[in-house]
Amino acid sequence: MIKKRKLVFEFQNLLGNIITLFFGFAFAPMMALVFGNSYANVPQALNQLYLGFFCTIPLSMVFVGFSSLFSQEVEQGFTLRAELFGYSRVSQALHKFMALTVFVLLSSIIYSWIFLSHFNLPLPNAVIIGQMAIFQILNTAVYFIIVFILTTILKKFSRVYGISMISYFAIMIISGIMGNMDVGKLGDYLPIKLFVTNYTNHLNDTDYISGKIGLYLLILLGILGVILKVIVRNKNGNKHQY
Amino acid sequence: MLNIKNLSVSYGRKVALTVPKLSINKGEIIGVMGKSGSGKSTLVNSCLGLIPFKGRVRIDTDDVGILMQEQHYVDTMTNQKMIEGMLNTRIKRDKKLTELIDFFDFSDQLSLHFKNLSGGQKQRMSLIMVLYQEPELLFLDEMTTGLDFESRQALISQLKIYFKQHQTTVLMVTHYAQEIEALADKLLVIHDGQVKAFDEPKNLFKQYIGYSAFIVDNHTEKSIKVQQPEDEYKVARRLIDDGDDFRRTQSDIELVYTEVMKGQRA
Repeated sequence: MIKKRKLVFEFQNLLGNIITLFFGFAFAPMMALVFGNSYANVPQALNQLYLGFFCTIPLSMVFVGFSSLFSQEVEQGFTLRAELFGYSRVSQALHKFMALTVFVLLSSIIYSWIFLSHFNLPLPNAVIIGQMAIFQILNTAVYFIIVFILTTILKKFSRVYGISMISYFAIMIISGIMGNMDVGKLGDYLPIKLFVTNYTNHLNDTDYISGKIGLYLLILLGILGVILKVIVRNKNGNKHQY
Repeated sequence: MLNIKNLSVSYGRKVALTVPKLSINKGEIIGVMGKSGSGKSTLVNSCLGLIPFKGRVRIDTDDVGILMQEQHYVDTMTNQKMIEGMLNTRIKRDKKLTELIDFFDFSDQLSLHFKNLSGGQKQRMSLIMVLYQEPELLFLDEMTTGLDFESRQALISQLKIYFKQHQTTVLMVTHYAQEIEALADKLLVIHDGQVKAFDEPKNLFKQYIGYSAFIVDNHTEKSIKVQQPEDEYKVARRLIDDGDDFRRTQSDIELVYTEVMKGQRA
């Protein structure tokens, strides 16, 4: 199912896209350092800031970088060509997701190293690091499926990118990364908001595990997975060869 | 290799293509001609299952390749990386791929990006990737449209050699009679979504033209059909006396196509 050269191809595809590189790798550390310097002496505020921009990494990587790449591929018929070369939609999605996840984790490590070393903050506890990594992977999966569904339905770059950019800023505003919007009870169910709130005070705890966030993300993933399956099946309904 | 029975494709209420019966044998090269919008590409797309259709399309192999008129690949990497990614191999370690690249004279373009290739080079790159998979059945959809004369000639010559070596079954949609002449065993003419003719060019020539024809001023509309060998001399003599430019033919595909479209048999 996983083909090595196809995976390398997807890495190179992401590496060749300046939007992905800028928003995926540079945006979070850049913004966090700019805002962080105002709170350099308030560790809790720095933790909150650190986690807030940590969450933007998969969001930027997928909603800004991947959506621009993938929607152009679909619009120009490259996805269909790849299908004709034997890569089914599912196989293509899997390779793209794996490449994106590696990039998200790599960017998260670079971001953490820059931010924590700049503000002389200690490295989070290993258990927390593991949970942060799982959070990033699950978030990447959720965003990935959303963009995949959007692109499969809308097909055109301009439409997909327009909606994904609106969603990008909407998620950042609602989740409290950009500004401080009051979303009332809804905030209790927003994974990013929950993640930042819950982990700000527990970055160095050895026994803190917040299963609720992971559970919400898994439920979301399940729902999106079903929607994706229905959509992909409908789109492939008339194919008999590939 | 490819069997079609009662194929019907509709776009909304409009029936775009109907093919009651069509069989293509292994190793045959079929040239498909027709006006724009006549249903040629619809035939290819329905064979590939890319559009909904009624009827039956049976393909006796899973090794199917397609080369479309327009090629779009990603511009984020060099052609070498893209070929390797699409074919899941390394050029350096793959003899078959290296041979194909050399065969289509594409080595110098490997380090370039796809957007920097000419039309002919883009088609050659796609052909390399399609032929690498050694398809038993290959669909070529207007592959040389937009190419300059030299690129088209070069591509046809290369394909002629390749198809002969590999016994590939080919369904080739084209606007160029010259490609049919060079490559095809049979000609399929589609008009307004209907099959007007399907046979070997020489048989179609006999049916629609006769023994031979004189094409005057290089214009198929001004052709003179000849039914008996002994009549040829008289016709040639008259054309010479009139000072006309002409050429004699017993196989001109453009003429066959023109006469098939007129629907007047010899």
